[in-house]
This record gives sequence, structure tokens and C-alpha cells, in this order.
Amino acid sequence: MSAPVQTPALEVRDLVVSYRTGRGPLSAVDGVSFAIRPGETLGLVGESGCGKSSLAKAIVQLVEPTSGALKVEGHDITGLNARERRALRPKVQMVFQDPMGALDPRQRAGTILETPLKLNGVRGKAERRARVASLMEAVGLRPEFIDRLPHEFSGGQRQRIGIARALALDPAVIVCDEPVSALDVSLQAQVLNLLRKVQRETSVAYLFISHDLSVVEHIADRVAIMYLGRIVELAPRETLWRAPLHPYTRALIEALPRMDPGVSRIADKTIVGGDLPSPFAPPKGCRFHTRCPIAVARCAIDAPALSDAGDGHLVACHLASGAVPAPNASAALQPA
Amino acid sequence: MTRPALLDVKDLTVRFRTPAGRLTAVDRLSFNIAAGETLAIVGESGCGKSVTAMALLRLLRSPPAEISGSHVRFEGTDLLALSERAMRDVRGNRIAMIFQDPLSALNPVRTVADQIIESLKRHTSLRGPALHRRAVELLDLVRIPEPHRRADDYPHHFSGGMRQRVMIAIAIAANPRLLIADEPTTALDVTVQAQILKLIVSLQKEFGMSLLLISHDLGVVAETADRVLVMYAGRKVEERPVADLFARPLHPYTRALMRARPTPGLRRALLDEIPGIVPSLADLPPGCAFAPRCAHADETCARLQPVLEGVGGGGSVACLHLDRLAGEKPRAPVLEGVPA
Repeated sequence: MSAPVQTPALEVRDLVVSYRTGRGPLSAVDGVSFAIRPGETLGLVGESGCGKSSLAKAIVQLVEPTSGALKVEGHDITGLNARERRALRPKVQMVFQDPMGALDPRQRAGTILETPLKLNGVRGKAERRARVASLMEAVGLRPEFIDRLPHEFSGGQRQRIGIARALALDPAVIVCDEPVSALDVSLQAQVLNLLRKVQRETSVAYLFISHDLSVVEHIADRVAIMYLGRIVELAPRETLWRAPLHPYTRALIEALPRMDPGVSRIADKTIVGGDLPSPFAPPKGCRFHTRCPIAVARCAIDAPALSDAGDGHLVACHLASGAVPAPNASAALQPA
Repeated sequence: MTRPALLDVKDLTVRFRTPAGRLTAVDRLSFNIAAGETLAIVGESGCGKSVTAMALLRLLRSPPAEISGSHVRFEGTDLLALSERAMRDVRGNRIAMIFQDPLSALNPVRTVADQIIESLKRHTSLRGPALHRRAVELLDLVRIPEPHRRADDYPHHFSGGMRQRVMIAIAIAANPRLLIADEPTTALDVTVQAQILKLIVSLQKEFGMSLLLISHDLGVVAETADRVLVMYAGRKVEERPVADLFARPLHPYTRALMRARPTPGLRRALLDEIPGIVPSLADLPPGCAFAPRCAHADETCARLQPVLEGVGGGGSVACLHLDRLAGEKPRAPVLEGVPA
């Protein structure tokens, strides 16, 4: 039984984002490819400087990719003129880490939610008002909150407004950039549950970016691990957690604090050493080899390609047994 | 208590005078820490955990802060009764503190060696070239690679994790008996966070220090602490040995916090939300502060403030329904099996 081929909500192919800086050129994203199908959540995990924010900015067109393709519902959004781009822009939305910084402090909730509708040709005021009301209901905000200013909301409520705004124009994809990192645990749960409910109702795809593997492991269908500009492993959530193949993924899982003092105490753990190398001068070969506990001579010379280890599990490591270079890498990148 | 307490805090109360009225940030908090022991205070924003740490060291400006209490006894001396001058000999010397953001705690225009030497001069009898030698030794002790070369660098030359190592070097320079670490790894990347926690714990053992760890992260607490104190809205709601707390949390707030957190290896479609938000400290309900959000609360909880009751193992819990909660089986999520 084969499902009909579905156009991915978002497809990223060989994406490169480089910056010219005072300290020389910086390749923040260095050849990243993946696809997300409608209604799916791809988690993207990485530490500072891994390029996850640059990737997010490129997808929502806040920075121009240096090369590569970005397709939204099959339409390539790179190399478009301003008008064509504007037409596709509503399809990709973003939810930010700091909801206070992402909301205009002088705009009332109703205005914040109405603005994208106005800018994108929803002409009737009554129609806009009705849409704002249904957005607020969808994210669990009471109708009387419509005239409140951002500072009159709690952090969790502000993030609800950010999510409602992202939903306003029926996007295909929402890039969620650390959407719960600034929130307390009790509010994190509310926002994570809301994101899941919204997805069930709208089939929007999420690219969910976080440094916190436990949050991603909860919400994502598949997870990509990024290190210094490259994806080192991509697998279904459960596979990644139970059978990680890349030494960096294993290091992240080992470093994760667990709520189980009977089996997990920091004093007994083996923690990967060293700092993240500077992204201005990434190590040659495998970029993780300077910190890798199992690196061999070859790792310092050859950069391993992202290879298929079976069942949609991709890994870029010379020492991951079972991984064979995919003859047609693009086929492997299609969502399962 | 088999070990004598190094720090013994009794009924510590911190109030702030604000335009919104007088609010109680810490309400009659009592706890102690034995020599070599790690106590973690855990809670969400505004629960009073950081204010507690600042109050112990008398780092809060008064006004607006008003600190009162029976005593804050450290090595037998009541810190609340000390003069400011005497307090300065305790601060950084017998009790040291590290913060969440090392960059704002370090002086940007002085080398890291200079900043360690400042602490050594103030708190030790070392003088002359021995000071620089000791500074390099301390950088080595906190595992900064090539400490000779790095000693004369400035804070901005270091990564976030390395800066936190420098802060730790300054903190342990005077060989303190108690280290207070306020969210020491919150701003750091996951692998670096684990490195720093491991470093703190190993230095604690090496120097025989006690550790007061302030954290919002139950995972970090579970990995590190001997005992855990859970705070909500300025009050202690539960205090237990770490193994007891995580095996069998008793207070409804502790349970709710644990279930709200995503737990890798446990498959749950939805997380258990804690409804509502933390109440304003200026406007606390008359009874249990958690009652408006608590699944177990009844009208008694809204009226009566629960007192702390002993629960065995040196633990205590403040909940009017403790008997019922202690009797029932913990509603632990079903394990799918966690990878080794």
C-alpha cells in the first residue's frame, strides 16, 4: 500500500547561508537539506553557533540564502522578485522565543492580530474582526482580552498571541524558534499542548527549533541534530532517542538532566569535553572530531556525508555502522 | 541530623516595599545545610529562591527590602546580627556565590588573573608573585586549557562556559565553606551545562564545601542535590531527600511540576498543564497559595494556610490533604522503557 505522494509543506535543499563579517566569512548554514510534510513537526536541535537561527531566518526570508533552494508547498521562494515573494510570504510564519520582544508594546492584542489580515487583503472590517475572534478562541484567549496591551498579559498568554498571529494567514509552515525557552515549566506545558492542538486542527507543519532535546523529543515527529552548520543526524523521534547513531547525538542525550536521581547523577556521567569550536574556523573533516570520543584519523580529513542507515534514519559519521551513502540522497530526504 | 549544620536558617522573611504595596517575597523560610552537603532550592520565577540567596549574603538593598527572621546562623554566627563590616569578611570568603550570567558578574576591563588576584588579596595571606601563580593554579583547577596563556586574557576572550569557569575560580579562591550557585548553568548550552555542573560537584567534593543550588530545573536538581526544597510564592511547600522526592513527590505542586515537564522516554500525547498562573505576591490568597491551581484543593484550602508537617526521612510537606496524598499511589506516567 503506497500513500499518494504528498507535496512537502516545506522543502529545504542544499541550503547555504554565509555572512561577510568583520572577522571574515562565516558559513552559518553549510548545505542543509530536509523536507516537512503537512501536519508534521520536525524538531531541530543544536547548541549556540550551530546555525539553527540562521536557518530559521532564511526560511522566513529575513536573510537571503547564499545558495540552495527553499520550496513552500512546491513553490521555490528563492530568487523571486519582491512582489512574487510577498504573495508567498504568508505561507511561512514564525513564533519567536521572546514574546515580549516580538509584540509591539503599544498595540492592543486585537490590532496585533488584525494587522496581518489587513496587509494581506482581508478587506471587510467585520470579516477581520470575526477572524481575530476565532484566532483568539483557537489559542485559548478570552474575547475580552482583545483590548489589552502586551504588558497586561502573562508570558504564556503573550506567547499565545504570538501563535495566534502566526496562524492568522493560514500558513503552511510555522517556524517555532525556541518558543518555550523563556517560559516557566508550568507555562511551557500550556504552550506545547496548544501548539499540538493547533496542528491537529489546521495540519500546519512546524519546524520546531530548540536547544532542549527533552522538549523536542516531546513534540516532534522527526528530529534533526545540527552541529556547526550541518545536520549530523536526522531520524524519527523514537529512533533518535532509542538508537542514536551519531556520537554528538549520544553526547547530547547523555548530558540531558534527568528527573531520576536513582540512575542519573552528574557525578557519575561521562560528559563530552571541550567547547564548541568557533564557527569562523570550523574543524576540517568531521566538524565534531575535535570533541568526539571515538574519532579516528580519517575523521580529521574527510567530512562524512549524511547517509541512510535505514528507515529514514540519516547520519553523518564514518563510524556509524550500517549507514550507507544514499545513491539518491534526495530520495532519502523525503518525509517517510 | 547526624552532621552539624553549617548553615541554619530559621524563619527568614524578606519583604519589599513597592508602589503596589508591601509584598512578602520570602515567608518564614527555615532550612539548614550540613558540611559537604548539597541543598537545592527549586521553583518557578518569583517563588523567592534567588531572593533567599541574596538575603543570606545580605546583598539586598534596604529599603526597599526588609529582612527579618529568628536567625541565619552560619558557623555558629548569626549573619543577621553582624555589622556590615563583619559581613564583608564572610561574603566571598566563607560564603561565595556564582550567578547565572558570568559576563555581567565579571569586570570587562580587567584580566581574569587580576580578578582572581583581587579575591586572593582580600581573603588570603598570599602576596607578591605567589598571587599570579595561585591564579593560574585556580584556572587549571577549573579545567581551563592552557591556563598560563589564558590568565592574562579579558572576559570577552572567553566563551560563556569558560567565563563561568572563571567565576568559579574566583569563588573558590578563598576556600569558602559554602558555595551558593544561582542558576549557574541556565544560560549555557546543554553539553557545557553538564560540564559546569560536573565541575562544581567535583570541586565541592575536593574542597569539602557545602552547596546551595538555586534552580528552576528539576532535572538539574535531581542530578546534583542531596536534599531538595520546593518553593511556591515565597513559601516552602516541600523539602525531602532527593531520592524520596523524585520517587514519591507529595505536595500537589511538586507533582504538577514534575508532570508538566517533558520527560524523554515517556510518551504522552499532552503534558499535564498547571492551570492558571502564579499568584501575585502582593495579592496572595488567604489560604494555601497553590489552592487556586490545585486539583486537590477544597474550600478549606482557600481559607487555611497549611503548616509544614514531617513525613519521615527528614522531609516535610505543607498541605492540608497530606494524609490523603501520602496514602495514595503516586500517579506516575507509565514508562515506555528508557534507553540505557
